[in-house]
This record gives sequence, C-alpha cells and structure tokens, in this order.
Amino acid sequence: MSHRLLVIEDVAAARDHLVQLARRALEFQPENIVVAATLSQARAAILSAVEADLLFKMALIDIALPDGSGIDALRDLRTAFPETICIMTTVMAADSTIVSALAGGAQGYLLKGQRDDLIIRQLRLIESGVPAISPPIARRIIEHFRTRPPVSESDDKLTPRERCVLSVIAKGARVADAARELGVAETTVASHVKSIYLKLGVSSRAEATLVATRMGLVG
Amino acid sequence: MVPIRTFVFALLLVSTGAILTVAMALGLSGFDGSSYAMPQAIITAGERILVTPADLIEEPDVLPERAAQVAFFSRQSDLALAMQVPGAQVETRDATGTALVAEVRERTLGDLPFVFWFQVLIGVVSVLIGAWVVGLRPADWGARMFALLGLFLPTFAMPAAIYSTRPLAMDGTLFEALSTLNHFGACAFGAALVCLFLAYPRQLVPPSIFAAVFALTGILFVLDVLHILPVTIHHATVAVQMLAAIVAAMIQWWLSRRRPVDRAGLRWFLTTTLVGAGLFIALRAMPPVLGMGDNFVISQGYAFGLFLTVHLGLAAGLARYRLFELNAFAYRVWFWFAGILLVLAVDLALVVWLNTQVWTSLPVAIVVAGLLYFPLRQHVLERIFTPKRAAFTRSSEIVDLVFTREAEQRDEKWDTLLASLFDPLDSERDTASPVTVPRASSDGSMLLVPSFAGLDARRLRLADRGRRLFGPDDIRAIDTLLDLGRIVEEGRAAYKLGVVAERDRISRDLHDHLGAQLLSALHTVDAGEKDELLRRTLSELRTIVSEEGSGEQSFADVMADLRPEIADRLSLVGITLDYRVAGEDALLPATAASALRATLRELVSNVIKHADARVVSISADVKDGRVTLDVTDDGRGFEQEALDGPGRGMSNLKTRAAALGGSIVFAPAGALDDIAGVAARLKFPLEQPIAASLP
Repeated sequence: MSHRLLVIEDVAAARDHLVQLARRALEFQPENIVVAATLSQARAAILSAVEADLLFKMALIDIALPDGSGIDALRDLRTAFPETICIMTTVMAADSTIVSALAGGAQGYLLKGQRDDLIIRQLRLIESGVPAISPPIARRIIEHFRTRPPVSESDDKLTPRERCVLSVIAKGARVADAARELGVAETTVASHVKSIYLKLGVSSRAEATLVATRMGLVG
Repeated sequence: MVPIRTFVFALLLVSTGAILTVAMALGLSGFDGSSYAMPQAIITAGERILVTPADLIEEPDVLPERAAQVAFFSRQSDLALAMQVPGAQVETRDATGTALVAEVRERTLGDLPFVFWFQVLIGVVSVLIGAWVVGLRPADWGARMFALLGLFLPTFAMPAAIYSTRPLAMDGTLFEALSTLNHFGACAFGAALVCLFLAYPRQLVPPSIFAAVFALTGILFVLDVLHILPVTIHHATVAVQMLAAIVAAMIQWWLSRRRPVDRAGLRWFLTTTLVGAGLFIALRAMPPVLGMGDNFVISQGYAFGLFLTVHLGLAAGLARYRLFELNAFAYRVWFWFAGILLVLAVDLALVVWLNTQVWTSLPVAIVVAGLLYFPLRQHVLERIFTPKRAAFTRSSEIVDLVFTREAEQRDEKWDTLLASLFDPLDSERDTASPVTVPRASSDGSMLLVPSFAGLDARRLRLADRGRRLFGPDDIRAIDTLLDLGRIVEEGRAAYKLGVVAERDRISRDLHDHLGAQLLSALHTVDAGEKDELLRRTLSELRTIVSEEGSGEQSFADVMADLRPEIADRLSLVGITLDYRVAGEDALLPATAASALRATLRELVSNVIKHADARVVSISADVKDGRVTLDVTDDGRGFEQEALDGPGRGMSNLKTRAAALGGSIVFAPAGALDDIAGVAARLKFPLEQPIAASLP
C-alpha cells in the first residue's frame, strides 16, 4: 500500500504544521504528501490520484473550507478510495458537525488547537486502528440512536455491548480506559467504536431515505 | 330556555287537539269496510234508506248554495240517526262490484283511514315548526306570523279530517260546527299568510296593520257564518287573501334585490309557499269553479298537505342558509322528536294495518327504527353537523403564513387563505375591531375574524360569493385555524427569543472568558506558557460555540469531558491518573463550568511542571449544593513548589475561586503519614454570585 497523505487545509501555517506533525507521527515522505487549500483543489487532487491510480493511505480534511464543506471532500474521497483513513480536522467545529462527519465515513477527528504531542499520539492511534472519540461525541451518538425515527433495518441498531462502550466513554474514559474498565482488549473496544461509526452512517442514510420516502421523493 | 318551553307548550297544545280530533272521529258510527267500500243503503228494521253520491261528499263547501247545504246537513242527521237504530246494517259494494252487508258498530282506531291520520299529522308538524321558529325569534313579527300560520293549519285541517273521512254520515249540527271551525281556520290561515309577507323578510307595515288584516278577516267570517249575505263569501275571502299574500311577497322580492341575505331566505320561502298554495288552488279550489263538482283530482285531506310545504320550505331554508343563528341543538330537537314519532308511527301503523297484538309489533318497530332510521339519522346528522371546510387541511398554509417575514406578504397570504376557505363576496381590513374570537353577525352575513399574529382583523361579507351565509361551522373552522396559527406564532416568538438569548450568551461568554485569557496570553513572555494559554482559549471558544456550552451544563458532563484530556496530558509525562466523580449530578451555570475547567487545567499544569509526581488523584463531589474538587499529587510537596514560585498561576486560581463565591486551599498531601505532595481543594457553591466573572 502506498504511503501517501492528502492534507486539505486552507490556513497555510496550519497546513504546514499538520504536514510536519503527520510526518513526525507516521513518517510520510515529502514527495508522498499532497496538499489542497480549497474544496475544488481537493477534488482536483482526488481526480488526478484516481487517474494515476495512486491511492491515499490517509487524508486530513478540514471541516470548514473557504469554498465548501470538508464533508463534501470526505464523500468524494470515500467514493474514490474506500480504504483511505479519513480524519476530519477542526479548530472549533460543534460536536454535531463532527458526528455528522463520522456518520459520513470519517475514522476520526483532530482538534487542531491541541498540543503537538497529543496530536501525534492521536494520529498514531487512529493509524493503528483506534478510532477517535470523546465524551461529548459519545453522548451525541447515544442521543442520536435514542431519538431517531424507528427504521426497520436491523443492521443500524446498537448492540448492548456497543451501548455499554458508548456509555463508559461518555463518562470520560478513553478507548484504553474503557478496555480496562470493561475487562476487554483495547482492539475490542476499538472495533466496537468503528462499528458504531458504521451504524451511524447506515442509520443516517436510512433516516435520509425515510425522510425522502415520507416526503414522496422516493417510491 | 325559551325555545324549549315554547316547543313543549306547542306540543301539549297540538297533542290535545289531535287527541280530541281522534276522539270525535271514533265517536261516529262505523261499519266493516267503511274505508274502502262504497255504501249503497242503510238497512234498519224493515226499512231500506238508499244512499246517494251526494250524501258522500267530503266537503260541504262544494255545494253552491246555502239551501243545498242546509238540506245536506239535515239529511246527514237523518242518516246518522238511522245508523244508530239497534241492529242497523249498511249495504256496501266494493271495487269489484260485490255487494256486502255489514253491521253498524263502534268505530275503532283501525277504521280511521290514512288520509285522516295524514291531516292530523300535518297539523301537528306545522304547529311544532311554527313554535320552533317563534321560540328562537320571539320578538320577530315574521316569526310570530309564521307561528300563527302553523297554528291555524290544524284549525282547518283537523275538523275537516273528522267530517271528510266520516263513515257515511254524522250528526248535521256537529258537521256544520266543524265546517264553521274549518272556515275559521282557513280565513285565519289566509290572514296570517298575508301578514307574514308583510313582515318577512322586512317588516313593511306597523303591527296595527296586522291587527287590521285579522279584524277585516274576522268581519268577513262573521258575515259568512251568520248568512246575512245572500251568497257564500268564504271562497272569495280566501282567494282575496291569497292574492294579497302574493302581492306582498312580490313587493318583498323586489325590495330584496340588493339584499342577498333577505333574498336567500325569501327565495325558498316564496317558492314553497306559492307552489303549495298554487297547487291547492289548482287541485281543490278550481274544479268547483270550473263546474267540475265534487270530482277532485286528490282528496281534500291530502291537498291540505300542500300547505305544509310552506313550513317544510322554511325549515329547509333555515337549515341551508342559516337564516337565524341556530345552533346544532336547535336542529337536534327535531331529530329527537322525529325519532320518537317514527317509533310511534311504525308501531301504530303495524297495529292498524296488520291488526296484530301490541306486544308483537313493538319489537318490529324497534327493528325498523334501529336498522333503517338510526343509521339514516346518523348519516343526516353527520352531513349537517360536520364542517364542510376542514380547517386542519390548511395547517401548512397557516404555518407558512406565520413564518412569512414581510408584513405585506403576510397580509396577502391571509387574504388568500380566507378567500379560499370562504370565497366571500368581499373582505375588508378592520384596524379597530374589538373582536377577539371569530364570530358571525346575527344575520350571518358577516364573519368577523379577529386580529392575529400582527395581522389586522378581517370583516368578510357573505360566503360563497353571496350564495351562502356564515354559520357555526364557519366559525368553528376559522377558530381551529386561528388556534393553530397562534400556537405556531407562539413557537416562532419563543424561537426568536431563544435566538436573541443565545446571541447574548455568546457575546457575554466571549467577553468574560476569552477577552481575559487572550489578554493574559498577550502579556506572557514565555513561549510555552503563551501557547498553553492560547490553546486553552481555543478550547474555551469551542465550548462556547458548541451546543453543549449553552446555558447550564451538567457537572458530571463537564468532569467527563475533562478526563480524557487530562489523562492524555499526564500519560505523555508518565503520570498515572486516578479520577473519581461522586455525588449527585448538578447543573452548573456556564461561568462556573468554565471556571471549573480553567482551575482543573491549571492545577494539572502545575503538577506536570513542578511536582515531579507519579500519581495524581482528582476527585470531585457535589453535596448539599456545594462542589468540592480535590487534586492531590505525590510529588515534591508544597514547600518545594512554593519555592519554585507558583507565580501568576496561583493568584489566578485564587481569583477564580473567589469569583465563584468559593475558595481554594493548598496543603501538604502527606501531613499525617509523612508522604510528600500537595493537596489542593477547591470549594464553591452551586448558587453563583450574580456578577461571577473571570479575571
């Protein structure tokens, strides 16, 4: 697998900083790093990568871009390269925005204001398969599954184990803490969280379909 | 309840009349086959009196001269006497020509023919309709005359019912008395009809004229009864009355040309009156004039039913045009009454026609009423009382209207919505309307819609482009719509208020927290410390803009959100975290939550920078409205830390605690068991001092 990185970020200083941190965390080579400052640049980069058949291992996507939302870039990237680890970056996006990005297929998110060593640590964790999650996000997800309209599909409901993981994280546990508290391996908790994100996406799509059906747009 | 009292009084009155009529009809001598076979002769002991067709006429009025009438009544007395001789028989011939001889006997209810009951029934119905209308509009001369019309119909119909269905003969004196009563009723009915059209829809003359009409009629009646004049003037009187009524009606019609309300009611009323009276004249009054003798198209009893069309026509007009403000209750009276009547009528009909026992026909009556009448009645009720214009189907339009920002567009949309609901003849805005609930004007011509959601009140005139008046259904429809609109409007206002409050919160938070923190960062020389301050500012900023930062925050949530951040920071420098949150959850004001976060982060920073610790325990507790936060490390201890100089950090901590209305104290962690370290304890009440803000 090619070790290529895509960084979508409009603030030049922040972009350079992110590139530096990503290199330090995961040893990306400068020639394997593609940067984009706008949504349209990002789309062009994705397109040329598709044409050259060079996939990205990881993408850091700023949620707020000058010409659109990073969630659009995320969607394009998911379609072009389903394998790419997509990480949303933000200075101060609301939790609800982050949850919708996670539902759109992002594996995690970074708060750009954090200390360098914390960001590096999170990048490594995500790369090793431990998804990013926080107590407020966990609470939002719990709320989402509790209040959304009933959809008949069974693959978008949380299992009791997943609900348990969410509630522990909502109380302040990190993935490692949750594993210790629940007496399971860290990878187990990680796979639960990933599965939750997946269901979040499924339930969001199912919800969108349901709304569309109710409005008479479909069927 | 004047309407009910009037109705009940009328019911009692007309029942008495009906019972009296039935009793008198039963007092006549009868015989088998009297209702279908033609009597030929009366046979008494050895004597055979032949019956002629002239003896069988229904109505003595058809006889042209007084002398003929006198002779007729005297012959009737003779025949009636002959029938009362013991053992008298009547020889009859039925439709096939078969001769039969029947014993004279007492009449029973079953002997009374249908046309008799029909006349009694129209008398009862007309009185009740009249009482119903005058009960609802007691002060209205039109209604009073209408009630009199109803009262005089049985006055001529019930006596006629007795003599026109007599079995062959009755006492001449009684016959003449009933005939006179019939004349009286007919004249009075005619007078009432003239007065009715002088009073309805507009009162054209003062009440004294009504009295004059009745007085004149009375004089003509008395002259006729006393036979002072050489000719009978009864028919002439009635004809003149009819003509006068038609003229008055035409005047009313002409006057109503610019008043759709009047015309709507008059159209029905006039049509039914003219058709009813006209048909009666054509079928009953004209044949004798044209020399057709007693050879009528229909029996007089049924012809009387034509007058009832006047009443039924008005009732239909009332129901259709809402001529008066009649509520659903006013109509229900009739359904109850009709229900009782139907049960009685079916029962009676079965008693009479099937000649069966009372105990077998009652269940049949119940079955017929249950299977046919009640479903039918339900259907009629629903048709009458269900609003035709369901307001709730307009809910999306009213929501759209309330959310329309431009005042002009709102007004336009409101007008469009009202127009599509009621299609009024015209609509105007009324800025000074005192109306707070929708209501119709007393004649139903106007619908007053109160002002709502900043829109002016509206005054709608005549529904369906003037074809219809406004009624209770319309009021209910607009009421429902307004209720819905008001709920939406309240929701919108609350939302707007919420937006303003949220903006206030954000600007206050920005000023209180971020201003101070950025100022501190600006004046910090050390690069690392400056970065740290800026990061915290960013973090606070995120909290402020995110939904969780609004208003009060859960203490448990604030503590939960801090935990991963602190755990990460400590683990990077190899310090173990022991984190406990106990006590009940509580809501913290945003300022307190912010101060709590800042304090905890500062304390953790101090431990990382100065303490050289291996374990940090953080425990928080809420009890009795007080928050206690302990941060304890196992590091170098207080004295070393103090030597290193807590600097501005320490003074900031104390200022924050004071702003929260609480305190922060530091003590050696191991004072008792000789273990080093620092124990910091922050305490503050949940009830915040009013001007709590950070330095």
